Amino acid sequence: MTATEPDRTQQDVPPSSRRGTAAAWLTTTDHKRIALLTLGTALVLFVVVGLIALVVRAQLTLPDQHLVSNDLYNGLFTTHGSGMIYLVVTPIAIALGLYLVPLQVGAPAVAAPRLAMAGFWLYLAGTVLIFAGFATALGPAAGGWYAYPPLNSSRYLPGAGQSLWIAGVFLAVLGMIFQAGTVLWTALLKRARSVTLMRMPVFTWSTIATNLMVIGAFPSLLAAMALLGWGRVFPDIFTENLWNIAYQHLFWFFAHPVVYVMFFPFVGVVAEVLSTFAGRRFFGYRATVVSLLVFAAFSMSVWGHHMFSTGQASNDYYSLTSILLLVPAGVEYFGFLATLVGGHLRFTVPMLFAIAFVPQFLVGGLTGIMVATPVIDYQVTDSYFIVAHWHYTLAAGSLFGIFAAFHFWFPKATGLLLDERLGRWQFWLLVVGTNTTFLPMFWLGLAGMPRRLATYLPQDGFTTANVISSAGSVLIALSVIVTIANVVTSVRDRRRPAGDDPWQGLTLEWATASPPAPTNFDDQHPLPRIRSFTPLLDEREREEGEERTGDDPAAHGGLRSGGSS
Amino acid sequence: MTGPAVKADAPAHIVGLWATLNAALAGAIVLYVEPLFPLPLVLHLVGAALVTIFGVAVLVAGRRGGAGPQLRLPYRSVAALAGATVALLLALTWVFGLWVLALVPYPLLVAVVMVRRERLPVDATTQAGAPGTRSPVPVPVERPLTTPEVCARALEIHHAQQRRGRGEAT
Repeated sequence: MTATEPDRTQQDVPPSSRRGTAAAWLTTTDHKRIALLTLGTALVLFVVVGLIALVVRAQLTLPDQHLVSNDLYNGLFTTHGSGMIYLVVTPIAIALGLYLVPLQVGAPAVAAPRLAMAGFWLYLAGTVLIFAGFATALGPAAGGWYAYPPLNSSRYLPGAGQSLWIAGVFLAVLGMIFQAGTVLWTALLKRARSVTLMRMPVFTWSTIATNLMVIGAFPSLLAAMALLGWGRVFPDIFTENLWNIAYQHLFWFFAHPVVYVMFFPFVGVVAEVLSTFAGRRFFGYRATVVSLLVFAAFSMSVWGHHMFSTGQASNDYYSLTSILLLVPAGVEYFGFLATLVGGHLRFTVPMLFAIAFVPQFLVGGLTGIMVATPVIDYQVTDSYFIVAHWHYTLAAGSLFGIFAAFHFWFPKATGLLLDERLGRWQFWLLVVGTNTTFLPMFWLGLAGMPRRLATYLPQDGFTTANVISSAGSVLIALSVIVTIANVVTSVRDRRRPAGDDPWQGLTLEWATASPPAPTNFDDQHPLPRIRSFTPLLDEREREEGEERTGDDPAAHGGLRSGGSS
Repeated sequence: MTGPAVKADAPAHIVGLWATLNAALAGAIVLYVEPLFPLPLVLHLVGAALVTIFGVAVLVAGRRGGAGPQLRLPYRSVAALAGATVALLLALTWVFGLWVLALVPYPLLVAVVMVRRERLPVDATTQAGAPGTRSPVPVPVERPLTTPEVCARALEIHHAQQRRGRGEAT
C-alpha cells in the first residue's frame, strides 16, 4: 500500500457506499449474503412449486376431472416433487448452515467463499434448466422426482424437457455439494480459538452431520444422472435389467440420505429454539451430538428399503438398519422433551413452530419405519400412503423447522422483528392445513389409491378424502400468503427494530449486531468468553451471580461444560 | 485454533470415526447381498471413501497449521458466476448439440481474467486491508485468553470440590 492510498480497513473493502448495490450482492464473498441469495431463491421457488401443488390438488379434488391434460399433470407433479427436494428444502437446509455456522463458531468468514458462491450460481443454473422444460415442444420432465429408467430414457420420454431436467438436477446438486463442503470445512477447521468442538451449538453439530452425508452420498446422484444422461443418448442400455437396478441403487444411495439432509438441520434448529425459549441448556448435549453422528452414519446404509418391491434388495439387512435408526432418533426426541420439562417456557412464534415439529415429524418418522418393514412396504408401495408419509416428513416436519428458523433468525438477518400476531395466524393455518391435507392421504393409500394418478372414477371411493385434502391445501396457501404479508409489512414499515438479541439467545450469533457486520464480529461486538455451547447463557448467569453475591461463579463452576476438542 | 497438534487433529478423528462406522456397515452387507451383484457394497465403500478423503484433507490442513479463523479472502467472486455459466453452457450443449459450444470461450475468458484479478497478492498477508483484497483481522475478544496457569489452578479447585463431594480429604 503506497502512502497516497487511503488507509482502508476490512470494512472499507468494498466501500460501504457500494455494499448495497446489486453488483456487490452478486459478486459477494460474504457467507451471509451468499446464504441469503440461496435462501431467497429457494423461498421464491417454494411459492412457485407450491402453486404447482395447488394445481395438482385442484385436479384431484373431484373424480373424473380434466383441468390439465394427463401429460401436463405428469409434468406438474414431477416439477413439484423434484423442485421441493432439489431446489427448495435441500438448498434451504444447506444455506441455513452457510449463514449460521461461521457465526456460531466465531469465525469471521466461511472457508473458500468463491466456491460457496459458485455453488449458488450452479444451483440457479440448475433451476433455470429444470423450469426451461416448460418452454420445450414436448413439455417439462414427466418421469417423477426419481426418474427411473427405462421410462426416462429417450425412447419412452422423448423431448428436451427430460434432458434439461437431468442436466438441471446435476448442476443444482453439484452446487449444493460445493456449499456443504465449505461449511463443513469452516466448522471443522476455521473456528475461533476458544470454540472447541464440544463448545459448538447443537445446530452446528447437526450441520456437520448433514454435510458429511452430502459429501458421502450426493456424488452418487451425479453418477446416477450421468448414467441417465447416457441412457438419453443410448437408450438401448436400459434394455438390460442390470443398468435399471444399478440406477436405482445409485439414486437411492443419494436419495435416502437426502431425506436426512432435509431434516437434520431442522433438528438442530428445533433444539436451539426449544432451549432458547425454555431458558436452559439443551438436555443431553453430548448424547445428542453422538446420536446425530450415528444417525447420519446409519443413514448411508438404509437406501435399499426403497427397493424392496424390486426383489433385488436384501429385506433383512435394510429393514434391520432402518429400524436401528430409532435408537439415535429416540435420543434426540428425549432431549427435546427433557429440555422443555422444567423450563421457563415462552410461547413465541418460533417456539410454536418448534413444538409442532416434534409430534408431526414423529408421524413422518414412525410411518417411515412402517414402510421400511418389508411386509408393510409390499402392501403400500407406490400408494398414497407413501405420499402421506413423505409429506409428513417434509411438510409437517421440515417445513415447520424452516419456519421456526425463519421467525427465529429473521431479526438477526434483517434487524427487524416480524409481527407476532400474523405469525400466530400463519402457525395455526399451517398446522390445520398441513394435517387436513396430508392425514387423509394415509387413508387414501390404505384404500388403494395409487400415487401419480391423474384422475379417478366416482365409484373408486376416493372422493371424500380428496376433497378434505384439497381444502387443507387452501389453508396452507393462506398461511403462506399471511407469511408474505408479514415480511412485506415488517420490512416496509420498519416499526419493530430487533436489537442484537431479541430472544435472549444462547449462542454466539446473538452476541453480534443485527444484521451482523461483514466480518461477523467487530470492535463494537467482540466475542464473549466461550466456555460451553451456550456462551451467552453463561455470561448472563455470571452477571446475575455477580449482582446477587458480588462473586463470579465462573471461578467455581466454570468447568462443567467441558472444553476438550 | 492453533493449540497443540492433537487439538487440530480432532475434527479429522470425528470424520474418521464416521467413515469407519460406515465401512463396518458396508462390511455387514456382504452377509446379505448376492456376491454376483456387489454394487451395494461398492457404493457403500465409495461413500465411506469420499468421507475418508475429506477427513484426510482436514487432518493434513490441521497439521499444516491451516486450522483457525479464515484471515484472508478474495473480495469478490465474479469467477464463480463465470464458472457456473460455463457449466450451464456445457449442459445445454449436451441437450441441444455442439453448436452451443461456440458460446463457451467468452465466459471462459472472463473466468480466467477474473480469477487473476481476484487472487490475493503475494504480500497481502502483511497488508491488512490492502486494496483489492479483503483481509479480516482476527476476531476481537473481550478479554485475554485464559493462561495455562489459571486453567491449572481452576482444575485444581475443581478436583478439590470433587474430592470434598466424595467425602475425601482435601
